[in-house]
Amino acid sequence: MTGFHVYSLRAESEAAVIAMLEAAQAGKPRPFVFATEDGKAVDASRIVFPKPEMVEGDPVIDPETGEHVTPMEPTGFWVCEVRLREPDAALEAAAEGGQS
Amino acid sequence: MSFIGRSAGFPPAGTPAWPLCRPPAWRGGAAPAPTVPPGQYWWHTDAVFALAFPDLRFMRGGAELSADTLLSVTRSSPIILPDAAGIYQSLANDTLPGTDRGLYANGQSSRLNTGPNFNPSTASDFTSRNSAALDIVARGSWPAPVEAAFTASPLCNLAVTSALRVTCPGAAVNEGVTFPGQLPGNTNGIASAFVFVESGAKPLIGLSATAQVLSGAEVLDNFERTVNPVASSSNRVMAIATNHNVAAAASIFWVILQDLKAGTFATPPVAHPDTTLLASDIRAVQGSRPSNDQPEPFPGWEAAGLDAGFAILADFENRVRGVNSRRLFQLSGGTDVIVGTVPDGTSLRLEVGGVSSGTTAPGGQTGGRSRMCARIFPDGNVAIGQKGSGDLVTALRDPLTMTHSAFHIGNVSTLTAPWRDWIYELQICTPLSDAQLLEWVNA
Repeated sequence: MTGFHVYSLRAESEAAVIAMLEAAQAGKPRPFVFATEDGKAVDASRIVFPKPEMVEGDPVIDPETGEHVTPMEPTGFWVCEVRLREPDAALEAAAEGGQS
Repeated sequence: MSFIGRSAGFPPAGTPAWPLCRPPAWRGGAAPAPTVPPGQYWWHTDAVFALAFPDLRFMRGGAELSADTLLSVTRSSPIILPDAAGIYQSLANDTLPGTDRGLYANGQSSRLNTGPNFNPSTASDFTSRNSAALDIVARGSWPAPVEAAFTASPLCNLAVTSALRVTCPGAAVNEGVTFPGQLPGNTNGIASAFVFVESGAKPLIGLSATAQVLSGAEVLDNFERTVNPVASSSNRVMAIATNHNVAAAASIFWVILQDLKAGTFATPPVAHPDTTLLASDIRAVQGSRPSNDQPEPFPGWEAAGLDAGFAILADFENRVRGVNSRRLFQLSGGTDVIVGTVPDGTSLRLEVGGVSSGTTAPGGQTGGRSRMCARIFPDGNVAIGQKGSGDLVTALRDPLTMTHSAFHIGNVSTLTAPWRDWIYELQICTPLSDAQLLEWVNA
């Protein structure tokens, strides 16, 4: 991702992540969030779709295969990543771990 | 009383210096390309805007221009696409996702392999299965057969600087490598990788215990397997390993660009080094309407009279099925004009003002290369046709608002319906007759 400013957003729900993006897009010529017939959609060319935050759980033995596996477990939070050519102060303020 | 008469001193003769379908340059039209003699245009006689990716030729207003001049793209990740010779090309962020094979309008997709799949640097990013040795080997240290195989492979054009070597001692069953990342249970998936077998038997590729035999000889092979529905609540990991039931002899194989995606559709001809490939937002570079300075889909749209009606011609591939409706293009800013597939991909549909105002093209889609044509008039008279059909399907819709401002190619403005297959040619013309449309699609 050379040349991009990457902003990682994290919130307690998908709707809250979308709300953060909507707040950050105010006054910008290109929106981060689109209204569609099926609800709201993020700009798929610049934003990794919001998804539940997952962490590794405790290793278990898969009863079907007998192999050790480490299942991923949700933390309850939602995350998404915005990749922009230009720095964005609003996203910088909203992001927990903004990086360039 | 008018004294204006028709002079007989100017008999029509010779060849006009501009296509008759467009206004001449001194009336706002663009001059034709000086390098293309009249009558030898590769685009349709009545075309105002034309893209021909296999020939790498692009036209607007009669002038041949570069693709970058006509089109813009936003995509915050690189993409790897094969060209006409099958050679993979690495295309950077915000670079048009096109080669001489066509334009590939990709949507967003994520590798479920969360580790590196291109030029890995750390062997511990991967997990050994049953004592197999994993090493990252830099190019320059590869054995001659490996170097020769990569050089001759579809990856030859990529800057491959390292690969994962898997050395299986042959002492146990199921020796090999597991990649990080999981396919959720009860989810279909597609596992793929480029694998070169340096010695020993061909390994298997698959998910957990459902490995499948690697196809091909001992050459670098773009191996893809659609993994059948995993009727399991357990998540699955991708592995490449020797036979998990029978101990195999010692073997060494090399891996690059391993990939695991969720889905049941045909594997798109696309790979990407990032964990997430973002969508390509491809649009025609906008123009400004001479009448009111408002944006128009491309420079010359209004001047060419397209607000009074237009036709669209497309040559495309339609192999992707079983997913939501996909869109070849959209004109937005006025009444939406969209051509795409019905949800199962088996037919094309022209939508004017919404999905509920859809007109399905005659005949179905076979899943291969085809052509379509559409014609739109502001009064709501619309038509659509496709290759193999002797007639157009026409319909009368509500009158259109002809204030179109953007032309989205291979998607819609909300980036929710990527075409995800090759688009070879796309042209916008002044309105064509039924006979002209059918002649083009059936050529």
